[in-house]
Amino acid sequence: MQRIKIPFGGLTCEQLEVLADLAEEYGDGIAHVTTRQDIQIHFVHIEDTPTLMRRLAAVGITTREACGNTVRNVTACPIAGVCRDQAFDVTPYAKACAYFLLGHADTQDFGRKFKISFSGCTDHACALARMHDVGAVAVVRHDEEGRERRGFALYVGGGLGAVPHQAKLLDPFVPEEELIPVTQAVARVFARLGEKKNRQRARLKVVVAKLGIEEFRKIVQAERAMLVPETGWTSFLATSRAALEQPLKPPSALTGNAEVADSFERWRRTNVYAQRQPGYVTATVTLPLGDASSHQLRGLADLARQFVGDTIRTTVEQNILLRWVPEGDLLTLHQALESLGLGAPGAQSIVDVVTCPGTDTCKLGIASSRGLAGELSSRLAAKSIEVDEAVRGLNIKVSGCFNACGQHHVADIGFYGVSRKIGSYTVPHFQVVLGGGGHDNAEHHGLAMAAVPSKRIPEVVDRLTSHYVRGRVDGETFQQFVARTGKAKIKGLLDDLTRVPSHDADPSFYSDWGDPREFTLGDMGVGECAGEVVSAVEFGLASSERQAFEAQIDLESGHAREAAGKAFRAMLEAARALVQTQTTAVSDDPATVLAEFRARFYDTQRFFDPFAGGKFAHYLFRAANEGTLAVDADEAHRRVEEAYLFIEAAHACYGRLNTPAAAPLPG
Amino acid sequence: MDLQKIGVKLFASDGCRPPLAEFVPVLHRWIQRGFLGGSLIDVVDYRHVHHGPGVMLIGFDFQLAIDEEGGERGLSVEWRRPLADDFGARVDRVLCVALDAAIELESIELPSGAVRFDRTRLDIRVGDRILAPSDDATWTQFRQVIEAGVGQLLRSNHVGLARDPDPRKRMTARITASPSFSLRVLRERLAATTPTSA
Ligand code: SF4
Repeated sequence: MQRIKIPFGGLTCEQLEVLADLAEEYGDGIAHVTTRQDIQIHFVHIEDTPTLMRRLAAVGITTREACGNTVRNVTACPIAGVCRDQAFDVTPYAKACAYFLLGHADTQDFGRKFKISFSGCTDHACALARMHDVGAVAVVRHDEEGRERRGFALYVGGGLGAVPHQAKLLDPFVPEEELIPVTQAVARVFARLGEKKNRQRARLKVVVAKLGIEEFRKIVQAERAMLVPETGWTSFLATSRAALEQPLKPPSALTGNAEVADSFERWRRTNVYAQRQPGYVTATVTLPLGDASSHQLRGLADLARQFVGDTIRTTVEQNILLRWVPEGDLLTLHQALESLGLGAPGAQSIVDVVTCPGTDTCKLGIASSRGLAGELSSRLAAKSIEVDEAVRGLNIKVSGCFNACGQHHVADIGFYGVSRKIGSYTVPHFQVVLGGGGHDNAEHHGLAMAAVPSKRIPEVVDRLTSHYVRGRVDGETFQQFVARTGKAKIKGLLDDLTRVPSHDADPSFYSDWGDPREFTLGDMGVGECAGEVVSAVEFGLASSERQAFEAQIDLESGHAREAAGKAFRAMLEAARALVQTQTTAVSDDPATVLAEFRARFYDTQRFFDPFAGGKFAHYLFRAANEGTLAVDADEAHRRVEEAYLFIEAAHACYGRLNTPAAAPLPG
Repeated sequence: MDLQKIGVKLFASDGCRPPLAEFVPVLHRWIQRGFLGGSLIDVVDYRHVHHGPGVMLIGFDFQLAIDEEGGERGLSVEWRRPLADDFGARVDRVLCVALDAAIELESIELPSGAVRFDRTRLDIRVGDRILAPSDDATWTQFRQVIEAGVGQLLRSNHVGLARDPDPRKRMTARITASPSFSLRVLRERLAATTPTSA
């Protein structure tokens, strides 16, 4: 896979055409827009990459530092500059920051990746600033003489991943001329103090959490004071107020047209945004699952040339925006998009499901996130006309595993892939994540509710949304509805969906979306009491999930210490269940369970995840060491999240105790 | 001029459009059986992309798709690795894989019926725009080789050859034949020079 960095998502027509050619010649004919506004081309031969990179460079695109332990693509609101609510256009700042840090000596020694985003306002979710290593939110202040001063509220140490961290406010107002040096100072501190050996701990969020934001702030300030000035810090400011983009055509109004088709009206309602500049709108081109064919990209380049010029942007919702469309051209534009198969409505609505690559191309994927997203999108699109207005605005995000590349924590309804062992089969499941939301720059993270078999997830969506429509009180958001209803009640609503029918009754549950293959596990290979052992282990794992859920309820009621205590006991219960696979005589005493688990599963590396190693076991050991005395709400939230991940790891370990073998396809 | 990244598309017969989903298990089975030879990696589902690559079988040497490019269902094979020999032999190699796949698909009964390919036309294309820009010079050379090779292959038919007019697309020769050809006869003619892929 070749990931191609597109700073702030900005693309020209020529770049779009080159991407189309490259996807066709070196990939599988598809360009995929990612949740970081990158473009990815899949199934590229390594020998082709030098030519591919040269061809990108010829149109001003670098692939440098798109992956690896570097500053990843700098993202920004795709409507920056045309947004009605922005403090100011963050595009020049995002661009300057991206190119200043690209290849900079201070960004070459990180233990892991470093993500930056720019947001034009505090209230909207376009750039998800608070889930980034550095999130810059535009702020305007006025000095004593009433002069406007531009700056940024700078957040640091946020991140999703297995355990999400809410970014902390480093400084409520970093003046524009200080933006790059302060970011550089943060990068240097990360390079110096960040973990280098253990990848699981090597993110800025760990440094911030370990030091605390006050101490971290002091260190950054000291670092900033030592920096040698560079021209790149401020050189861009001379032009930062000049409009970066010029409209291609004069503004115009959409004139009434009785013949306007329904499809246009529906598209206009969801995919068109009136710019702050009168007479212009931004049109969202909805890409199903973030994918566009080479033919479609060329068609889009043609349309951009005809209507808007080089003002194309990719979005974190995996779509493409055409900015500066004269409103009077909308109908013609929509007709042209329809002929490319890109005129579907539903941008940023429930049908616009965001997903990571999942098992399709990611080696860490557990369940088929793209398969599920495709299924949900098409089912929801098919009944979009009947869908209640309140439901239409919800968003769904799907990750193939706990690593959260699909951003499931910051969705109204999130899912991440897990698996469950049922008898001798492995059944793909998704954890349902509720309570989060992308609003307010990703300020709220959801928590797992229940693992539901993959094939029942569409029913989960149906049930949750119809319950919301029936039960919400005036103007209540889904997030508020979940909080008011309470997780216990919502979990009860899903309980029957967690059951898996036997293989004989319905074999379709035993394969994933879009993949007809079945996976089986070999026989347990235990003694004559196998039946009892199996049921005791499964019972123990189920009981640990119940306890983790009760921890969530405590968290919801503001009882942080109780929540942390239950989260620990949930992990202990799962550990005990695993120990039972080795010896049936296991005491309930926590110290004994810990010692047995350590000896039998940690020291032997039996519990180790193939990719994350012993990370999840450390959650248990750390909770045991630290106790619950100093636990606040943030810490409790983290412990609950960790408990769920530990339990998932226990399920996976239990599944691995017998090697799965691929079964032949029927027929 | 070194013509590489060669592709071949056989078109589905009119009215022969089983749902693309029905091809997914077939392609998975091909991986399990090692059908078509080489290293087959995965099946990718792009049904959600309008007139896109449809359902793909990704291999190390080539990609095979039951695609809908240009709104026309067909079976495409795109060679991804450099091929040795002269251009004619390279085309034969790619054509062999496409024919083997097409013959196999026609022999299977899918849940919604049989698959049948159009025997009056096929496309042959070169995908590498750096080695072979989509211009008149490339076309002249491409045409000569295609005329010689395909003329020999379709020796019992009247053959038409036209260049796809879209200059931004890969250089594509659109070949028509009358009367219709037989997939098996073509494959047998190629067998003499090209190893079997099945
Ligand atoms: S969330 Fe998991 S499956 Fe999805 S891309 Fe990230 S690591 Fe891969």
